[in-house]
Amino acid sequence: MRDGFRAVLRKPGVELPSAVAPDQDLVTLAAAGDGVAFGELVARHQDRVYAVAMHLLRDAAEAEEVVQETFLAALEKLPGFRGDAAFTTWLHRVAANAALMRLRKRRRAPDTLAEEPMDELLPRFDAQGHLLADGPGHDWAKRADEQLADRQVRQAVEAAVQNLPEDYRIVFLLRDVEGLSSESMAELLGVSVAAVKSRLHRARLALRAKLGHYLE
Amino acid sequence: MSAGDPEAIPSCQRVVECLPAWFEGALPSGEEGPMERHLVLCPPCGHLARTYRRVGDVARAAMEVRLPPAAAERLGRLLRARFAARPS
Repeated sequence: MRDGFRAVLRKPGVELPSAVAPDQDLVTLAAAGDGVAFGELVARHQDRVYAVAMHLLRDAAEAEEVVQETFLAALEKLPGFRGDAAFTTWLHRVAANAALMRLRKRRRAPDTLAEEPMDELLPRFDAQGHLLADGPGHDWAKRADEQLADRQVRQAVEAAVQNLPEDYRIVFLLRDVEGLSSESMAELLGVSVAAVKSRLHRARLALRAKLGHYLE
Repeated sequence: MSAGDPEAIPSCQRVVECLPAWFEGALPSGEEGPMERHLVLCPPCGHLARTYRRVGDVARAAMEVRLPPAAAERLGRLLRARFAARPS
């Protein structure tokens, strides 16, 4: 794709943007009509934008549509993009918002994915606040990376995330998998930052209990 | 950490509640020491904290996904056409 931009849209006499040029330099060049710079921006971010959409929507065709909408929006906004937010942050917010709008429409239809109850996965405490034994007690944290080489383990981890109750799934995906800030998520979801943080905490606690079953 | 003695070791329940702030480095400085002591002295909480911290990394690694080449090609065609059609 970058070659396509380079061949068709390169302005003569303009220095090629370096592969390590900051996004902001590429945004400035692209806004001035530099197709190569815009192609570089797309190439840099297309996988992350697709990941945001695919993780939220779990549908490759819909995720592809979100990727197209996101970069078309980027193309339209380039001239006015002032760099007050990092381009990557802005792009991921646009993608997340587009995916969330589709999810809201979809919610009107019966949900086909069974959500698992979460409370039984959360730590329990006695009356004095002492932690009661919860789930497998082994420490999977140390060997998790090597076990993730196993495709079945990766699929089990993904299923564990995707089976979280929807409000928790969305917050966990956007914060811990895609790296959006709590403040951005609060704005996108129309809830308080405290609510985002509370959901995230519960989602992490539930997932850590579940991952103990898949990771040795 | 607690309403009383700030140096008192907090309960397990309080430690678990404070994990997000602990990992973000957002606990008030006077509360870090008691939290740390609890995590050292209480193996179940130490284990919970270690696994809690890794959940995001593990999910991110397991869920890595890339735009399929055919979709990237369609995106490239679409954007080239739109880019070329922009007013100069």
